[in-house]
Amino acid sequence: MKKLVILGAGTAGTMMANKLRHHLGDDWSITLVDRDEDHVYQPGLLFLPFGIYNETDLVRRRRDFIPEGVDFRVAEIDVVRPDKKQVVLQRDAGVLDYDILVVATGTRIVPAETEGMTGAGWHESVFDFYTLDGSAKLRSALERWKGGRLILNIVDMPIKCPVAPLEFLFLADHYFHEAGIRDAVELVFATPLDAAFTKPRAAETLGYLLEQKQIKLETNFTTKRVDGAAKQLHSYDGRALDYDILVTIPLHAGSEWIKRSGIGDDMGFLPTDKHTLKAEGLEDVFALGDTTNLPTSKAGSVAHFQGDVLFKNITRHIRGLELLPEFDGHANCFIETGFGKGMLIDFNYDTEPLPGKFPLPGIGPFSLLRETAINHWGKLGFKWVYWNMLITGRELPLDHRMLMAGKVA
Amino acid sequence: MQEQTSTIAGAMPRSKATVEQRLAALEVQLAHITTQLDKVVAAQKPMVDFRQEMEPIMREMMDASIAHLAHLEARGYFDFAREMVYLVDRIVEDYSPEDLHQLAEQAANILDTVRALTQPSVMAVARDVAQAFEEERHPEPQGLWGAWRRIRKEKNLRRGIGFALDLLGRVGRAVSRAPRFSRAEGGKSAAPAQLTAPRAPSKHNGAPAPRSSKSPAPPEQLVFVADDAWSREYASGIAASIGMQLGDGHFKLIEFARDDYKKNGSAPNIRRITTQTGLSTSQVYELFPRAPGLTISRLAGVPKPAGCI
Repeated sequence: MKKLVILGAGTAGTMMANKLRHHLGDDWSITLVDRDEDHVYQPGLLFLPFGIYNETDLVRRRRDFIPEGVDFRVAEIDVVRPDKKQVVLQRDAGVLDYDILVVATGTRIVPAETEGMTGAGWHESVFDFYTLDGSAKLRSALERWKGGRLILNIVDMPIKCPVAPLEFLFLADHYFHEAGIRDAVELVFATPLDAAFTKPRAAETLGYLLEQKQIKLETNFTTKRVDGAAKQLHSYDGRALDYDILVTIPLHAGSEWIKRSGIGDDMGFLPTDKHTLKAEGLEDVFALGDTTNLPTSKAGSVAHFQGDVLFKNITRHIRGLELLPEFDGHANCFIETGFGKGMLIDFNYDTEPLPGKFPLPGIGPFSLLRETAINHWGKLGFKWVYWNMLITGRELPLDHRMLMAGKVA
Repeated sequence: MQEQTSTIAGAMPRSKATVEQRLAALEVQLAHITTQLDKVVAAQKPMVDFRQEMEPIMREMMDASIAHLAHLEARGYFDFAREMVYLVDRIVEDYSPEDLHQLAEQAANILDTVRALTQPSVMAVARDVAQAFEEERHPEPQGLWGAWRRIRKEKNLRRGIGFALDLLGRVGRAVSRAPRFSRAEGGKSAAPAQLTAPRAPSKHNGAPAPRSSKSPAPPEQLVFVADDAWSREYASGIAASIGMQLGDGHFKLIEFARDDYKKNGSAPNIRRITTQTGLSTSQVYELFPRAPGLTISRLAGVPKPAGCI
């Protein structure tokens, strides 16, 4: 019996387990490993602080989405030994031999890497919204807030869902309007990049948003440290910003086991072939989702499009065929802009987000790089698609490649 | 298994089968039904889920639709639509479907005619004629002799008569030919150019200015500078233009960023620069005091670190 092991039962791992189990015969065993039982709908974490979703909307049992015939193990991964083709689990949970390994353990935030961030005020006046805990605590803080200065800072790229920080600020603008305290709130966006919108077409079409929503911008702001006691955010070039609430997007890193195994880059992401999704320098190891070092967004849509390519490549690899360089960096993201509207962007390694209609040219129903109510409904409706189609590996009527049809170049 | 079920339960006479045999058959059938039931329940789940998910969304869609429709109503869209219904009703009553069919057959001819009639030169004539009606002083009635005198005196009048005669000639020719003139004769190939050229400016003059002119200057874009174009001198040249002098310390970072971009397809972040070169972030800032990530990319000839939008 041949053994296929998938590490990580999140978006990418669960989807791959479903796709492969339905395809591979009884001569292949599939083992799926994750550290816990709970599958969190990560796109929903953005909505939690504003009371649009609550915790029970976002968490389901991983097992409910894992098909029969997949051996699901709850364990921490200690190391992977590519030379022996083994995965060693922690706390005597055993050793898994593999013929093929799929790595999908994602990324995590490491707030402790920034000086002072997890010190005084952590989860009292300094919050992340990339974890269920952080997001829920931020909600209680916002509910009680009477106003002041809210700073959102990105410590460094890459981060999960690069548009989430802007979406947070747009939704915050809406939320404080509804709460009747918008006049008493100052919103500040501190980014390490040189602009809020760094791509020319996006900057051209969306430049008005920050002004319209009265969001102040601090560019080239490389966060040095957080002074939780004084409620100040310091940058390396000597700027100090006072805040009442700091919503931070901490540094992101790959999984610790990747570091322990000595197979990752300096941030613990796994070097992966941009187009075939084979792990670089490792035999029979593939990777997809946030865990890779690929220069595209860390987002569920990317994992989905990669899933189509990787499924094809793994089945080809099993049959002894060469891998196809089909992944083009395709990403597709809804962007909430508040007041019941949203946007959609569709791009890849080579093509920046362009305006147009998606998926049907001229019809849509979704509009690219433009605020519409339909886009917003699409974002809300996506939760159903996620639970019932995406991670269960069902066919979505979308090409994994980015298409120019419907776009205005 | 299904085959076995039908053999035991169906073919075997009830009386002859032992209780055990009948129970066994029942068991097999139950197992089969259970499997089917599981599938039905599994298939049902997404639908139940869908309904729950859609309820709040439907609510929101309804609210937005209502607001939008109310806005249209306030602007009189619906009153207008009702009058349009009356208009269509009158047309339907007075015309037969055959009339409509003939109209459709002639649609291209009609459009060609309308296009020709709405050319600026024709419109100018029409406007002039219309103005003549609005003028306060209408000309006195004129006899033949008076007309003759005016024709001799006024060149424009003679030109008008020439044009009218020419027009009459054309009408005569058209009447003598088949009553229906074909589309090809309308000079279709030449027409579109005439159509678009004079109309385009007037159409766009009133339109709001494109958004690009209102939004802030587009962000600086950096493109990859190929190996044969990039050199230390290239970097030094750009550095000089922004008042920087480059030394070995700078080049260590610049060349690292260039190599890293070529290897991974994206410019390294500060964290990667420090871990890979062994410098601390403060040291990087000493070398590049302002926006080191952007500056290093610019000097290294690689695209700057960017987000997805």
